[in-house]
Amino acid sequence: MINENLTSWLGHPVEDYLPGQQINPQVYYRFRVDWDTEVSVIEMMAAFTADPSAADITGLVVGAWFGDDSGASSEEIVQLLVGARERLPKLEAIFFGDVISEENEISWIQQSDMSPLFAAYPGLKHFVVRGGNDLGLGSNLHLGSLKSLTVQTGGMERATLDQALSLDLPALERLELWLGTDGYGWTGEVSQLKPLFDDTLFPNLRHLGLRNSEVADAIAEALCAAPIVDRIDSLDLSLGTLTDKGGTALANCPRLKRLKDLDLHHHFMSESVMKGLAAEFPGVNLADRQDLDKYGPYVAIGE
Amino acid sequence: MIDAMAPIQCLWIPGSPRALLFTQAVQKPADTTLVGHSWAEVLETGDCEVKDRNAWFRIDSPGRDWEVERALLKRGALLAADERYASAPEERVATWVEDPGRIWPSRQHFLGFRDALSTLRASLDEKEVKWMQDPQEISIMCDKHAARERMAAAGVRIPHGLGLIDGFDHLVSLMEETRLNRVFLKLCHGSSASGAVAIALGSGRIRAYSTSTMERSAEGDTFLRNSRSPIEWNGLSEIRRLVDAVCRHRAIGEAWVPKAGWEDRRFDVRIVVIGGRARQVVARLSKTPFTNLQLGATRRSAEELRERIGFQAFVSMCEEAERAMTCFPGSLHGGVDLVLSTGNQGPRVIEVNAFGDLLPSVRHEGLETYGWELKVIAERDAQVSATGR
Repeated sequence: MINENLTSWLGHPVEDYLPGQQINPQVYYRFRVDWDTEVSVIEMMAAFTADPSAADITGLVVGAWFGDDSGASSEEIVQLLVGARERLPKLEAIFFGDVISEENEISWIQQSDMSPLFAAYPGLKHFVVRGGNDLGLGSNLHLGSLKSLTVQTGGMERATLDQALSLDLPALERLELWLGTDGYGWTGEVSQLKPLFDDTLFPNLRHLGLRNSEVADAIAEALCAAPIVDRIDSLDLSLGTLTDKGGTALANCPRLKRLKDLDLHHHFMSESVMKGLAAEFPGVNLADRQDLDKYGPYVAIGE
Repeated sequence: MIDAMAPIQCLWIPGSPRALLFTQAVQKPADTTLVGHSWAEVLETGDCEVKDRNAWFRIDSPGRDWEVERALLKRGALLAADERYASAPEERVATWVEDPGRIWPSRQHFLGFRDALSTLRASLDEKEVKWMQDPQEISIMCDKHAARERMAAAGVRIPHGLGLIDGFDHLVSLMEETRLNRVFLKLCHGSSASGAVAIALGSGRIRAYSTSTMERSAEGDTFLRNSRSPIEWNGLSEIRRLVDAVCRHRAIGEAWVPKAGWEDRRFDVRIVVIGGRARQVVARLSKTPFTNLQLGATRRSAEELRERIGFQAFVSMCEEAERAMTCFPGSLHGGVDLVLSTGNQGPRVIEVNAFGDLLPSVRHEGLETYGWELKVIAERDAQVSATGR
């Protein structure tokens, strides 16, 4: 996740692309550089897309693209991918930002507007983006094939959350949003999630993750009365600041009992509330309990 | 025909875990005996009496004992003349009391230690002792700047270095000049990541992670104290104070090589090289930029590491560790720390530790580190007697 680069994704091996190498269509190649790499990610990706065998690849991973400038924007990479759309006709999975904390501070990753990608690749099925600064997802765009969308941030801006929820995604099965903390850019409110919770947005949603959030308790409470939980099979409120307040609300919510999976790992709940949850939800993930210390509860990924 | 083996002489902190474990190891091969010398006594009397000629002599860490630490600080008082670095006269050192975690003037401590080592070397060379580690090499390994230079000259793969750092402004200007925006600042004479700071610069922002906090002494100076968990800093003025405080100890900067991850942690590898060969290998996995076990990192075994990174990468790590120890030919053993970068461009040596062989219950081919050391010295003695000397 945040401390380890992908070694596989969606069942495909992930490997660093080296310009000039032979392309294996089964592999999802990652494009990245170090501070002292001589070629840029743009040059690597240009070499890749110029190779006719790239036409068979179905997924790719954008890694650390910024070299010696941790604040360099991803905009040029978006443009390059948009320009290469005819050379990547089978592309259906993009992981945009496999950047770990050893490579850049997560809250420093400089993203850009992703909506041109969505327009260029209407057949996209899986999209992950990491880093919330200047991240754009477009407004009301239709992506008929998208099955999974993940937006990982140390702090999500209000507008980004609105944009994510404005997308028209009839096929969406998995939605995962890392909301983060106000110290690193979270400016949203739980009330923005209302249309999602009212189940008016994504008719095929099966899995909902609202992770790494400092408003995890409020989310848990709101979910207890939310129609969306009658649709989904799996709920993930992990990595956040869930305390006894939210945990008790979840434990006392009968409609949640139909969930097949409930992931609450990295939390601040007491032993007794954990026991109550474990009794209500056999198999609930309560790992990685944190102690409430003088700093108060904190999210897992906020740097 | 074979003379009775001279006892192994050992300079240590009596009763310390290192001393106890080494004693246990020596008791396993039946015919070896051990004579212990206490660091405190040797520093007090200025002498270390060795009766046997041609004995093996082992120097262990003088760490984790307040009286010894203070004696070394006193000994370093007159030698610490360089005003760039924190120091205190002997009379003031004499008033200091034990204060766990506090980082005392580490340059002064090192100068006292180096002086004690060179005195010891001069007096025991007359007895023709066989050093398990040449005292001079120990003092180089305990000076990260000198150790880096030695390794660089020998072509060992180490991270790009920024040299000695005067203070915050100097560090930032070097980072800007080299466009190296992620850097580790390390005390030249610190152990176990004590005083280390990881710093990231970017687009007018700065962030730092440290293993120590700043406090103010009764005399009004800022000093550092080791923390149990790493601390994140975001304020420019605090980071400036922190870096300046670290640099008062004499510090080097080097590239923060992005460490590869494992189990959603980053990891580095400690390889204990004994008799020129990599023996014990331990991976250390951490959620923070620091991989030291006392800061919450967890261990994985050599077998797990080999499985994780593949045989070739494992072998090249071992070879790089062995190459690093060729810079210290008079040292039978040393602990080498290496990292693999995220881009997997081969291993890099981030540290050599003179006293890096304390890895209780980690076995390599059936023996712990101390067992290997004893085996290798026995082999060397056997070779010498076989060739008739």
